[in-house]
Amino acid sequence: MNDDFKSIPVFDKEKALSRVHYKEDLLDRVLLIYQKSLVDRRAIMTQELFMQNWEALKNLAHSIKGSSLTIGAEQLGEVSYAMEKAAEEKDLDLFNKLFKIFQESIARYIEFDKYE
Amino acid sequence: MNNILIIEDESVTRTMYTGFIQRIAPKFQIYEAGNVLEGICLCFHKHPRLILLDMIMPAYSGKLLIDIIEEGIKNRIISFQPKIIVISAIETVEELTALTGRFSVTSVMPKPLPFDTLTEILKLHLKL
Amino acid sequence: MNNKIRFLIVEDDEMIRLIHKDFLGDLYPECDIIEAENGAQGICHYFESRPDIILLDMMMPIMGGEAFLDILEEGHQTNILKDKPKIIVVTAIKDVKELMSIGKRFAVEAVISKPLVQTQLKSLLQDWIPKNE
Repeated sequence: MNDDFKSIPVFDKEKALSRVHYKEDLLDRVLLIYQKSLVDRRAIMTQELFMQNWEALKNLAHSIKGSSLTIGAEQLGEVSYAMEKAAEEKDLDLFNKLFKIFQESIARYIEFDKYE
Repeated sequence: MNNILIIEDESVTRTMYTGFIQRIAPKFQIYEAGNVLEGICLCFHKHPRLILLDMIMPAYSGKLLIDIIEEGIKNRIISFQPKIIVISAIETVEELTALTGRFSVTSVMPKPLPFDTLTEILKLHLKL
Repeated sequence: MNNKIRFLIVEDDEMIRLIHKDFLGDLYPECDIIEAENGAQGICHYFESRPDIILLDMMMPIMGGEAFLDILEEGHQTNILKDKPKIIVVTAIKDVKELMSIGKRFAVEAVISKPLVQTQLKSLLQDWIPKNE
């Protein structure tokens, strides 16, 4: 992942608000659910990666892509799309690299001030 | 409802079960499905008390019905719970364990199923 | 369509279900909305409640949208099912061929890519459901 990736927004609040019809309280609930599921899925992905269960990894990445793009977590959406493709190709080296980027992206997302 | 559902892709086997069950349990209405998709539809339409379920079928296996019934029961979406008798040519202990571990599966029987065993199953589970 | 409109949302992502539910609830305050976390629950709800309109995700654990569509199709071909719901597939699948193939499936009225743009959904629904419901 390069500078192009870094230029992708961590969190596009305007997009996220548009998805929930500008209801701030709904956005709060949605973000809570999203963050919890992200952490849970990361843990499951770690196990599935250890077992090289490519079908499960592909499905997880696909799922994370869908919810990330829905909620404006653009970087996470992008990297999970790449992980989905890598899982389809069963490319362990690439998946491992992407997984590291994924984990860094999660950290950036969590730290990002979503309420400014 | 006094319904029995047979889900089996081999038409000869299906016909044999139907003919036999009609003699043993004449008060029961028997429905047949040649694949698990049709079987699922019939299961929801007719609420059978007992299902004879083959596992290995083209396109989708019997596992699909088991997954659906269990999701329905666990999440309190459906209120009926048929007795599911899996009839399958089990080859490994893992396969057998996987099936017997399913809460919706009442029994797992070998294929080919002897008719005296089928009689005992029907007597036991339908209280004939 | 008469009486209360009944929606079924079949989607494994809790967050996306919440967004769909909130949106539909705003659009049609009198409607019934049923939720399913996967295709297996979705099929149970379908047979129990016979929804008018279904929002269907494709990739889900336990049972996906493909099997859901296959079951409904088989039900109709064998005349076990008489009603025909309207199904809107909402999916993160990007492969065009796959999307086109899904679009031709029984009862599928539209295929919308995730993330769902609600104006798209709204204009579809307003074609099917009169404004005063």
